[in-house]
Amino acid sequence: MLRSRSAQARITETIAVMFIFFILIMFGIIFYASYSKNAAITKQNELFSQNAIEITTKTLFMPELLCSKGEAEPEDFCLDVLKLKHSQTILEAHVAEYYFDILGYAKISVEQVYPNDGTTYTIYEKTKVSDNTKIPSKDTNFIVSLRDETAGQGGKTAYGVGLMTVEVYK
Amino acid sequence: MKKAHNKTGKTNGFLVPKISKKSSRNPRISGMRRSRSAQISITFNWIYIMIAGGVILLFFIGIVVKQQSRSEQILSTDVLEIMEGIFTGASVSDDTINHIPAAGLRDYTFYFNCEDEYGEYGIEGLSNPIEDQITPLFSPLEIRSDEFILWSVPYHLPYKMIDMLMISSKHTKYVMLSSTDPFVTELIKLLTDEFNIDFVDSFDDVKMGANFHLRIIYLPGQFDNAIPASLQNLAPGTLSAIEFTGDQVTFYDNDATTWKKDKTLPVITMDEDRPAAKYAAMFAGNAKIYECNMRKAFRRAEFISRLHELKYTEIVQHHSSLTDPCNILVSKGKTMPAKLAAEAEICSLSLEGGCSEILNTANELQIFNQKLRQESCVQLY
Repeated sequence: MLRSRSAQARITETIAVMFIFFILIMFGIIFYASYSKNAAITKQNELFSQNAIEITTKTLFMPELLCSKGEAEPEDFCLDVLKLKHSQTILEAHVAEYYFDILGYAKISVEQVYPNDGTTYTIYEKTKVSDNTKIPSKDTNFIVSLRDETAGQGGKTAYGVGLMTVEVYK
Repeated sequence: MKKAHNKTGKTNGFLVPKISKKSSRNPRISGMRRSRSAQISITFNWIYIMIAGGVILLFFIGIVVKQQSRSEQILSTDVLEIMEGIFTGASVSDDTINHIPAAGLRDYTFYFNCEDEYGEYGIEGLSNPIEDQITPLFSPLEIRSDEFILWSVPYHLPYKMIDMLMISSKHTKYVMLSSTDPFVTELIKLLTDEFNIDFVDSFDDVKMGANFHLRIIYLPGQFDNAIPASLQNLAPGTLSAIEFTGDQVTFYDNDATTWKKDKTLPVITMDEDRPAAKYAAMFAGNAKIYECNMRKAFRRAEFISRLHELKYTEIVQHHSSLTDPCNILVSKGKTMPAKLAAEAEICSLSLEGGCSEILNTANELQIFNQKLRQESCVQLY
């Protein structure tokens, strides 16, 4: 009887030790999972910001939009209105096979702010399909000059000011 | 027996050999049995400790191994992400040379590959390589160095199509014969202080040194099928050569004492001062990398030419009035951008065959654009 009682006590003791051991392991797992989740979210946000910057940089230097000057270097931060008018046609036609790899899920538009005639050129638009939930996005705005060689008086080139918005979807 | 056994307390709930009541009556036998039982009990305790300890040890070894492979994975991903960002930045900044210190990565080998317009680069032995089907990256097949050198060169045909990115390192050496050839003098002016490039009087003086790869560049009339004596019998992949002949380039690999021909491809470039495609051939690891990345450039050229085709319709519209002095001239160039786009499409499929035709069209378009400028008409580019 004594042995049996002692064995019972031992079994209870072992169970208690194992219980505490598993509780500690569980705490460890919960802590690690929570840490990993937060780290993953931080990393994801970091990558998203980096991606947004990369897309904006690429857009600003796209030969499809830049003002060329013959064989010389293109004008910095200047967009050619004659190209802008048709860029969406080309980019949309080849979005799946080519331009998506450059611009990803984003919307790129240029609003003419001077002279303000309410013109907005949408260059590229590829949104994520979502079930009525708002997709998080990051907007970057840039002031650019707009060059229109057909709009100036007496055959001169006309320059305007535009606001380029690059909206990158998460 | 019961009492003694309980007193020792060695069972720990483990198997204890059954001892018959009969035998317990004899104290001598009983003592012997008890001792054996204690021995068995102690042994079981140690086995238990060993197994439990082993399991715990294995668990921690598992964590360490997993953590090690994970940290290598993270390193690979982080490094490649940074490289991708650097490549993006470098590729959009026209005509700039960037030196990227990578002292912490000198023990890693970076590899570059390109197949069917799909470029790929990564760290050898680690997963998650970066795929790139947009930027033409002309690089050696492998780089192992503590400094990367990036050079972005715009490619015009005749308008700007794309920025080509030349990738090299401090330990990738280029050797050419010094001469008065404009290509060489331009290279001396441009690259001497930036790249690991030597202009020698004779290839026999060339030494491999501490370089990871050596590339010999032969200009027309300089090629010799025998590898220079000081560079013979080097391991495959450490030495390569290219030979420019007219508008073509031939790639060679080392084969002990002689050069083994890889492929001859056209060099389609019209920038006399800065022949981007010619530089690209200099930096491309082999014919496959050169062709694949040039095809990427032509793919972009096709889309940009399609856009110029639409831009040209605006120009035609602008000069549509019959009294407009530019009307006749502008109407002559209607088909040019479309022709260029169609030829770029051919080149994006293969550099061989009818691809070289694109140069004539690009030259015609350049002359036509100059005429538009002379006549004060709206220019195409």
